[in-house]
Amino acid sequence: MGKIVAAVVAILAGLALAAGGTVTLVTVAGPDRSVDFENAPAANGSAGVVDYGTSGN
Amino acid sequence: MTTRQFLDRAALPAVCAVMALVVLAPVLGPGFVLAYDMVFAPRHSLLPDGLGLGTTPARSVPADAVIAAATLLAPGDLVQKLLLAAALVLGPLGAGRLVPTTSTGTRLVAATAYGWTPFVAERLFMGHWPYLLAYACLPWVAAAGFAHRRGEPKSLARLVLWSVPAVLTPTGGLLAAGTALATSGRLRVLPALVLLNAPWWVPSVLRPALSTPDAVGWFDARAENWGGVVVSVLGTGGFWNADVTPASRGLPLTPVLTLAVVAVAAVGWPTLVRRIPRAQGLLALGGVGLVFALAAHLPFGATALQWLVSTVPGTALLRDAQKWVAWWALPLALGFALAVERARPALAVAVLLPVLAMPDLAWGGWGRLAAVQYPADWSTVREILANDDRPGDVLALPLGAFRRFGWNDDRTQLDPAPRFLPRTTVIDDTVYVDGNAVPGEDTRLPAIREALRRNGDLGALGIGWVLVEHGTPGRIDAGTTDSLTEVHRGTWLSLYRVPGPVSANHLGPPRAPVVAADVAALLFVAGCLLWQALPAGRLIGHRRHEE
Repeated sequence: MGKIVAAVVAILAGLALAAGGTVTLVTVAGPDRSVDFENAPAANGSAGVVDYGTSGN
Repeated sequence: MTTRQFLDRAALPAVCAVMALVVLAPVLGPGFVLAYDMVFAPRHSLLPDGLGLGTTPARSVPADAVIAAATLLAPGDLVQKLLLAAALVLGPLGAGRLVPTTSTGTRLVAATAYGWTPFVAERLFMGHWPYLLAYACLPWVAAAGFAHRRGEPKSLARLVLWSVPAVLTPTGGLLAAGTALATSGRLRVLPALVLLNAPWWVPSVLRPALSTPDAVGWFDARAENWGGVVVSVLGTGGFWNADVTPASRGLPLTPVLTLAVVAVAAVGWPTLVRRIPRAQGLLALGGVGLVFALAAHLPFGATALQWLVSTVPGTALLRDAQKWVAWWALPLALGFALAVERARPALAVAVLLPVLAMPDLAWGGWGRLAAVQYPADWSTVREILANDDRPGDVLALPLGAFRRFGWNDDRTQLDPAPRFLPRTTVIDDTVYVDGNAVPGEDTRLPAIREALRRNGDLGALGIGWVLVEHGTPGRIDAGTTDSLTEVHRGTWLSLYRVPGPVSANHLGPPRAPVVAADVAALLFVAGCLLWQALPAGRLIGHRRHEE
C-alpha cells in the first residue's frame, strides 16, 4: 500500500507542479489589465454601487 | 537534547512560520490590509455595536470590542498583522501536532495540508480574518477535546481557552463548539460552550434578524471548475465569491488532484481511528461540514434553507454555507498525512503538494493584498468628532456598505468609518451581489433613507453628523448637504454637522442582559486561565490518577 500511495503522491505532485507552474507563469508574465483600456471589463461600481462580489450561482 | 532531536522539534514550527511568511510577506510593512470584509483602523473605539448593543446584527461581536481593547495597547496595523500571522501559523502548527505519529515528516504533511488550502486562500482574500482564526484553533480545540475525553486534568479549561479566539464571531464560535463536542464526545462541555459564546448569542436572541430568501442562492457554495460544486467543496473551496477564488482553482487538473487527495486521505483514516479511538467524531463532523456546505445543492435543500433564513431568526448564518467545510479540512489533512506516512519516499513531495497545486496563495495572492495608509483626512475627521461635545451619531454617505478608494488601489472594501470613527456610524448595510441588492438589517436605515429622500430632519433620528466619502462609487443628492454645516472638507472626506437639536436614540437590545453576558463570559475565561495556571487542578488530577 505504501508504494501505491507513494506513486500516487508523486504523480499528484507532478500534476500539481505543472498546473501550479502554469498559474504562476500566467500571473507573473500576463499582461497588465490596467493598461488594456479597450478590453477592460466594466469596473465594479460603474453602476453607482460597489458590488460585494460575483456569485457564480 | 541532540542536534537531531532539536531539528525534529524545530522543523514543524519553522515550516509553519515560513508558510505564513510566504503568504504575508508583502503586507508586513506599516499600513492596513483593507480587502472586502477586513477593516482595521489605527484605533478602534469601543462602541455599542461592538458589544451587540447597536441596531445591526451581532455578526462581528465581540470581535469589534476585542479589537478596540487591543488597539489600546498597540497600533491597529500591528494588531492586524499579529492576528493574521497567528491565524496562518497556529492552524498548520496545531494540525501538525495533532496528527498521531512520531514522524516529523508526517507532521509536516499535515501542517501544509491544513494550512495551505483553498479555504484559507479564499477567506483570506475575502478578509474573513475571524474565520481564519477560528479555523486555526480547530486542531487545538480537537486536541483538548480528545484529552478531555481521556479524562486528562485541566483539559476542559484548555478546551475553553483554545475556543476563545474562535468565539470572536458567531460562525467561529459554532465551528469551535462543533469540534469540541465531536472530539470530547461529552455533552457536559455544552454549558461551558454556551456560556463562552454568550457575548454574541444573547444580543442576537434579543434582536433577532431575518434574511431575504434570495440570499441563499447568491451566497451558497459554487463550482470552481468542471468538477462541479461537490468536488470544489471536497477540496475545501467553493466559496460563493468568484472574485476571490485563486486562478489555480479553475484549472482543468484541479478536480483530478482534489479527488486523488481525498482518496489518499481515505486510506489514512483507518490509521487515524486506530491511533485516536475518538477520531470517529472528527470524521463524522467532517461529513456534517460537507453536508452543511452543500445543503443548498441537495434535494429540497435550497427550499428548506430559504424558508429557514426568512422565518427563523439567526439562521442567516447558514447563507454562506461553504464556511462549514472548515470541519472537513482537519480530517482531510490528518488522513492524507497518515496515508503518506507509509510512503516515506514521497513525504517531501507530499509536504509541497498543496503549495504546488495552489501557488497563487503566496505573496498575498500575488498582489491581491497590500498594506496601505489611510489618507490624513480620516485622522482629521476622527479628531474633530472626538473633541466635539455635541451629541449624535454619524451617517456615512454615499449610502452603501462597500467602497472602492483610489488610495487602496480600488480594492473592494467594507466602509471603514464605523471602525475608524469614535462615534456610532450608520452605514447602509444593503449589499450588492452581481448587481442584485441583498437588503440590509439595520433597523435605523429605513427611516434615515426616507429622511434623506425628503430632506427631512436627521437630528430627530439621532444623527448629529454626516460624513461624505469622496472617490468611491455612489451618488449623493446635491440638496442633501445644503442644509448641513460644513466642518471639514478634504480630498477624500467631508464632514458636516446636522443643525438643530439631536435626539438620543437607543434602538438596540436591552443593555443589562448583554453586559451581563459579556461579564459572565469574561469571568469564565479568567477562571479557566486561573485553573490552568494554578496547581489546584494538577493536584486533583494526580489524586484521581492515584485512585
